[in-house]
Amino acid sequence: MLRLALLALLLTPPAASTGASPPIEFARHTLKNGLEVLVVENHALPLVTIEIAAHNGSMTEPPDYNGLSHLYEHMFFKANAVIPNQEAYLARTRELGMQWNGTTNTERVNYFFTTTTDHLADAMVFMRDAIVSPLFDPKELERERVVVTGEIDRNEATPGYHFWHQVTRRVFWKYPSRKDPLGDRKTVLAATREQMQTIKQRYYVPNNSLLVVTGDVRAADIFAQADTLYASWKRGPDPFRAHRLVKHPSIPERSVVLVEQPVQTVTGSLNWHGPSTVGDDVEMTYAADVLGLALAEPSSRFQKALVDSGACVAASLSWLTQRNLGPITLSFEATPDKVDDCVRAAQSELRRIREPDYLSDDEMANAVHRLEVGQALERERPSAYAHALTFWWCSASLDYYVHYVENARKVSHRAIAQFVNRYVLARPYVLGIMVSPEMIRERGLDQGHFEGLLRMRPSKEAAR
Amino acid sequence: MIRFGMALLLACACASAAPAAAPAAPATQATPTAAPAPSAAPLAPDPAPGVDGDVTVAAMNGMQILVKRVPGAELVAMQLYIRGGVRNWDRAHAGVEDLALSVSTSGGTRKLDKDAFARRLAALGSSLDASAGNDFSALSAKSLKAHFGETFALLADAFLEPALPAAEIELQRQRQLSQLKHEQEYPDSRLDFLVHQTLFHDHPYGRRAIGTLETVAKLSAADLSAHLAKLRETSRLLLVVVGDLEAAEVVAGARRALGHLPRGTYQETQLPSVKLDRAALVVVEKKLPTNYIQGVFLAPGWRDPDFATAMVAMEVLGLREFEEVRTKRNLSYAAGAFLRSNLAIARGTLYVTAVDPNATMEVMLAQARRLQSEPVPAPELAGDKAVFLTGYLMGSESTDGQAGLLARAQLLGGDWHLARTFPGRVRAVTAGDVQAFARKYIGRLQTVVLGDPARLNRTLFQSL
Repeated sequence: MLRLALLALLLTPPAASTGASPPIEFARHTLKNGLEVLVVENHALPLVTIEIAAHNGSMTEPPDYNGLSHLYEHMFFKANAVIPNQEAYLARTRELGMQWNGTTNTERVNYFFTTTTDHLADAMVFMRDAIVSPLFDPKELERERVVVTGEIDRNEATPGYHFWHQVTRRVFWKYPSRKDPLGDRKTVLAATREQMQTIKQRYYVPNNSLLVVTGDVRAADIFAQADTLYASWKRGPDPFRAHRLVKHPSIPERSVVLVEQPVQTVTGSLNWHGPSTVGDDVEMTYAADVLGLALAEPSSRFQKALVDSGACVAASLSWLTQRNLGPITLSFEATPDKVDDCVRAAQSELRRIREPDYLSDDEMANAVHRLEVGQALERERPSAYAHALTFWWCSASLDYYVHYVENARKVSHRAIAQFVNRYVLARPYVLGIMVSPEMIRERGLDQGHFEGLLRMRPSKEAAR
Repeated sequence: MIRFGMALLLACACASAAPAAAPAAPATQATPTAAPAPSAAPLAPDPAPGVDGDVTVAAMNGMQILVKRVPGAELVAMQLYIRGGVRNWDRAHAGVEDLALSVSTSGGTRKLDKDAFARRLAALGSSLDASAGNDFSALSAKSLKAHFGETFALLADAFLEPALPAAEIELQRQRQLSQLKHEQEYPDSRLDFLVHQTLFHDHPYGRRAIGTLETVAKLSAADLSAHLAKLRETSRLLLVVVGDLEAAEVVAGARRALGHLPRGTYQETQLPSVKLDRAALVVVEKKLPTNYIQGVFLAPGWRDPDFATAMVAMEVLGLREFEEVRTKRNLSYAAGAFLRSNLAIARGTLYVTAVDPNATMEVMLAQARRLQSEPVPAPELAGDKAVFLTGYLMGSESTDGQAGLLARAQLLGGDWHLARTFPGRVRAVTAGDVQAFARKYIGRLQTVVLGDPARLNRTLFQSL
């Protein structure tokens, strides 16, 4: 029986000073087994996108599972109870004219198909079979482990990956695997079918998943199909009750992570632990986003001090939207001869941000308006909007997303100062620096140099 | 807020998501043409705007204006294209158009200095970007519908009356230099660079829009001013606007902003063709975890009768490479084939990263030969065409996607209608067409390998 708890979420923001955007509108339905279903109707083109996300990812991975959420994601596109192997899987995607893919990050694993409207019903069935009944065929698993190491190879071929990886290991020093979706090569190569089944039983349950359908569809039709297709998918225990997320301990002291790669400019970042989208300090997340956008404007004091001054080639401050502790990152790029100026300018400017008049009222309002237009940009492409919705669901919540602009609009100058005081100025940070061996040799840009720049005592490593 | 941090998001990189799909990349021909009337001729009055389906076509002193109405669209894309590309600069000034347009959009205008200009864009929530290419350049803006008029006025001012302050020239110069340096640091961009050099080292395309470290370092403020002055003639320009707007409003705005420009005498000249006599292999040694490989061949452009066949054939080949190399043999994470059609001189590409390059390329080349020797079975061809068309439609989900599609069809194909008729041409492609294409075009492969030269079977790599 169709249980149409159709809840159209409509949010009309208070009158904006510049141009109003339409309300966020989607239809929402929860199945008896706990599966949430969202539908966004957009009939501009004869396309439909079907996406399922599980609240899974590296946040759930202890070291012996590090990288296996990602391997699981690859195994989704293989044999299941209906499809005998990946060749048959690929043949079916062709029959259905599908563009398809999946992604894994820290707090979300998502799978998505886009096809033309005439294939909607078959694509819905195809998605159900893949998410509910993967087989983890041992031969396919053996082959895919190697494929995933090919993806690791490609990451390891880029300087940016090494920089990110080494800095992240220091910032989340106690549980680095929980912030590293790519994971460990040895763990991936040793992965077993039993581990895949453990992930499935634990996280791939309807009450830990979200189905989003966007495009040329009718919400009532989708809800009816979902009720039928997913009726036998059994609810499971709340995975995060039995397997609690870790609590990342603070960064204990200021430190420098120097990464040597064959690069020609200096890339760097100052890194802190930031707020989370759940818990007592959610308000600070809006302050973080408003501040980041305000500082990104070329006319901001921040850009003037860091970039227009000639110290940095580029600089930005951002916070990663996460349920389980989003990092704050001040990223910069500098020429080797200016990197000291760039770091000093960043340190100096951070202290000024807490001043009450650091951002003008207009800058605050413009930043919120950027967020508002950003949501319009997300809505514009229904196939990509499905990804955005699953992201917000996994790393915050739908309520957080729906009220996001409204809450961002409430951010005050005081909240900005609180955010900076509480999360940036009062806490130790990790300075990440990526330089080339030549820069170390010819310009002395070594560990000790940057520790000196931060007025730290030389580390044992530098002292040697 | 960051939605997806670097290296936090691992895409499965399935076949359908590989560049092969190239949904928004139509158009190309070896000899783009435009037929503006010479300025010496007496000026005939512009014809009245004509409505052709959902597109209104207007002319203004030799400048073409395309306005596509998308009812209900929240956002408007406005793109001002400048014809010429590499024809506009010599080798010593490579990079001038890129730098000049970047500074034009970021450095303010005579009416609004850099800060005031940036603040106005921020208040509107609008974006304004510049891009320079080997065939054409563009100033592209996007805004809420309500802010079209003011955003377009800012775009026009940036083109007509940029302030070009010295400090901004230095800042954008540093960023362009950084981009050139990063290009060499990352294996995929370096491989693209090497392929480009291999094909076009003594061709006008060899003087790339981004320039070189040497040329960009030497560009003066006078160079930028003189270059921009040269571009300001209607015979070079194409304006494309897509959104929920009245065409008359757009045309009137264009007349107000650009109507005073001289027509000029710009006529697009034919670029020399590229001749490839035999298969060749270029190996660049670099210590990497895996080898990066591209094998390329010249392919038909948009107005060529074989263009739609080429797109379909490369879709078929791309999906086969994925299945044979990755799915069946786990030789690579990233194996595919695609048509790079966003240049006037289009090319087909086999792409793979592999730790065992010989075994992998043997499979890749065998698939190319199979396309030549066997007709594609009807179900496979029908499915692959459907997959391709899904991707093509996805490229039109956004207003800027639609504007870009119309522009490329016009600039590279000579007729925007080609964007509209392309799906029909794709549906008409037969297995015989695909086989004939493969025999005619896939050969004299120019292969570039970035990695370990000791491992290569050179005979194999030069066998097609």
